[in-house]
Amino acid sequence: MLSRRLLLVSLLCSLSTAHAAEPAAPLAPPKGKVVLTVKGNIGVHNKGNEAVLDMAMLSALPQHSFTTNTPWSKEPLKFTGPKLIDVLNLLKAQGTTIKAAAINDYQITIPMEDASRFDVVVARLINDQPIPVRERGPLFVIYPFDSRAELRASTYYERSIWQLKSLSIQ
Amino acid sequence: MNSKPTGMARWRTRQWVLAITVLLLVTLTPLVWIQWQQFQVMKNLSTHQVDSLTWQAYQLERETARLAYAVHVTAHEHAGLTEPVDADELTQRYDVFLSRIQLIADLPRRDLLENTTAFREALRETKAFMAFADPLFAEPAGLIADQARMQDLSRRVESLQPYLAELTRESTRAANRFMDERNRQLHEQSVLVIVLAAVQTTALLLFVVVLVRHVRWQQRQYTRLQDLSQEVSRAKDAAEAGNHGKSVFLANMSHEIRTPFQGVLGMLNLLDETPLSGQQRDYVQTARDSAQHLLGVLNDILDVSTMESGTLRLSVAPVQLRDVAQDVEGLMRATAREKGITLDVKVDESLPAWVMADATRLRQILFNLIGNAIKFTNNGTIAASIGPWKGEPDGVTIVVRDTGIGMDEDTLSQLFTRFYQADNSLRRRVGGTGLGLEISRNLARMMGGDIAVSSQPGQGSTFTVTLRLPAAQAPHAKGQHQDSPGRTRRLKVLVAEDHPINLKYMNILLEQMGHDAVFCENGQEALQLLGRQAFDVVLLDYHMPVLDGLATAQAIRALPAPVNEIKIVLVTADVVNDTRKRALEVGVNAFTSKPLQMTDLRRALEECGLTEPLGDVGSRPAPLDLPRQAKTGTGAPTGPAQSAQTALLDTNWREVLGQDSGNLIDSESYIEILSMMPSDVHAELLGTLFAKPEGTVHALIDALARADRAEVEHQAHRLKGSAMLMGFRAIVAVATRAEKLASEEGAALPVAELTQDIVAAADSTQEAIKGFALHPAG
Repeated sequence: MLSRRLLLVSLLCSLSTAHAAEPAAPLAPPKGKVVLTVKGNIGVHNKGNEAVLDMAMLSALPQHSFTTNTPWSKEPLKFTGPKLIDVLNLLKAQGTTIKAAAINDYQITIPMEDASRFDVVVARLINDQPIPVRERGPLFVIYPFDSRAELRASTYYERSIWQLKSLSIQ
Repeated sequence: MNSKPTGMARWRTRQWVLAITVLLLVTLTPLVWIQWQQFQVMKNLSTHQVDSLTWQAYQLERETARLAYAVHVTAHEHAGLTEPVDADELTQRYDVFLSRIQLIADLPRRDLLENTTAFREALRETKAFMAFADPLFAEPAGLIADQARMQDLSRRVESLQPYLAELTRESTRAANRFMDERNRQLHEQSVLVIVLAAVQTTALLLFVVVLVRHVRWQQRQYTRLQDLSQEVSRAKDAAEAGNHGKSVFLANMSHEIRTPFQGVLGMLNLLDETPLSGQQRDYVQTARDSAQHLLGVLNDILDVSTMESGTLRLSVAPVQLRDVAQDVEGLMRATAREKGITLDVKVDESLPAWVMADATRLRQILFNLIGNAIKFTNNGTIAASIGPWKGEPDGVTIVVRDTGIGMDEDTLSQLFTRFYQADNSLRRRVGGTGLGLEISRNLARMMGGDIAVSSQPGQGSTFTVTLRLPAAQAPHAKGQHQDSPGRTRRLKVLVAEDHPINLKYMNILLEQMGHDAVFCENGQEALQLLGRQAFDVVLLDYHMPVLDGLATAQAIRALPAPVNEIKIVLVTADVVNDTRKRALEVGVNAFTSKPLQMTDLRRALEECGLTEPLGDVGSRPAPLDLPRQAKTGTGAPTGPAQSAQTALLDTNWREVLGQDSGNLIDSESYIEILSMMPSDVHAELLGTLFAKPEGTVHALIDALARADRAEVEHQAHRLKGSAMLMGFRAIVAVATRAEKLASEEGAALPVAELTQDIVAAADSTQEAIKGFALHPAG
């Protein structure tokens, strides 16, 4: 009896703390060079209406790696970086689509559900090395093409945007 | 069968299946290969998109243009005209440009471009540019500050642009060429696929055709097979019908032969009694032996043929097993003794006294087995025992064991086969038809049992018969199986019978049974008599000249009432049931078998509803069944039945007759009667005349004593008839006188005188026939 009540109390406590924590976690300003700008429907900002992230902030998120073939390389490559879903969660992004833009002005619309359906990674390392711009860095949105046949289609090749510069959540 | 496939058709299923399988393989394999190829192309395409070739070239050109613009703007800085470009941005543009170069260089399908001048020149120019630009961009801040360098860089970038524009065009062309090539390949493959599919379709159609043809062929074969089997079954039916016909024919023939044969035997006996030389007597003896043998054979054939035609029926009645055993033992003992063999027949005490059985057939089995045992035993003992069949409530086992020559395995296996005889050399010695065992076994089977045999060469044989003979109630206790004449209603009987001996015998029977008989020789006469007098019953012989039994019966039923309602009894020797069926159809009321027996006749009259049932009688051995018994010796020179007859004739009655017998006895008639029946029946016949007090002689004397005219007339008439048939002339004379006197109303009846005469005639007749010295059979 007693233990049950205790359990209930502690549960309520934990819930209230979770609630209280939400507004009280402002995004720290980037210390290094900004590599990704996120705008649109996001919950946290650190530069006006936008959230700007440096490489350190991205590498602070849980890192994920996979090796896959791509249409743009002869050999399979190992991609490492935070999952797109983690980046979106970090910024409390809410919406249906992500408009991604690259340094080379390439633009593509990625459905939000891709982030949860597939292990889409915002790669910051290829073969464990940082990616220079001339090798399509510094950030590379990549799908695990080899793990699923349905991914080996133009739709997903198009969504794999390199030289990623910004995301706009809508 | 008759349809051997020819030509292509001979190339049967197996080859066809093989050929089509090969064809399918030959066509399917390339199809699979083509599909595999296409699959690979698609897969390759999905990972290495060819159209990205154009896209990459275009992007490179575009990126170069942007770089060129950025450099140009920086180099020719017109203040206020454009936004200034910082070092980072410029470097970034350069890096993006480089990444594009890298992409072109690493293009998965760069093989499509590699051999083109545009590609080589673009690559060469780009490399030259990079060699120039890389050191400059290593220090972007310095670069931007150096106006001259920037202008130089701007010129170099701009001069690069035409090459890259050409590369874009060239890649578009290459991609188009690739598409064309792929389309062509797809087209070719499609054509190939269509051709192969067509070939396959053809092959399948061919296969279907072959299959259909094969199925049709099989159907034809099946139909042919059915036709054949129908033909076979028709042939079988025909054969069976033929066989049945043969059996019926045999049955009829052997019977037809048997009847006159009795005459032959009788005549031979008579001949033997005439003065003969030694040689002649020997001839007669041989002739009689042969005739006896022939009779046995005929009986066997008759039995076998009736069995085969399926018309043999057992006539089952209460029977005393002990009586049967005694009969058989009595008849066989003499034969055994002649060979110096002991015959011992035992009946188990635990068996019921009376059983339901066909006595004649039961005796036949015993005669056959014991006869065989005697035949094949030269010294020792033959033991026959009748006992219960263990485990069968109604079962009876008969075991006949001998100490004879025995049989080996081979012989045993063929023993019950028709015409088989243990030893061919023996055949001549012991004679016989070889049908005996087959008949016995069939009879045993008809009685719900079988015959088994065990034997060892030199050790003797044991035949075991099992039969189902249910226990029966003893018939009404009656001392005599013969009826006292007054007890049955007196019937007026019309007898149509052409055979003189049978006629006489029937007369005796009817007389004995107390009926009045009128005789005629054929159906025609019977019809005429029926028109004139009233009768209670007509006895029709089946075989008669002019109008036979069936035709007569039919004709009687066609007469005007009330004559057509008369009861008809058909006397037939035909054991074939078909005859009976036809007879019933034409209106016959009952049957009696032939040779006629009193019990049979009584039963037939009962069936007609003319007399009351009297019980009993079925149990005694059939009096006139002698010929059937005779054959049980299977032709052995001294059969038991024959010995009975020989016994009769061995006597010295000729001399008795010699002394004034002409007036006393008509020897011819008497001998006929004698030869017709076994001694016990004969004794019975005599008994009906002379026995006290029921014999006719005494009945007449009684009637005279009571001065009962009507009874005197009747008894005198009966006595006259019987005596006439027996050939007792003296008695006939006195009976005739008594009848006449009694019938004359008003005339005085000299009772004392008549009585005296009758007693005298009877005494002298009895005295005379004693000379015939009738001993009991055996």
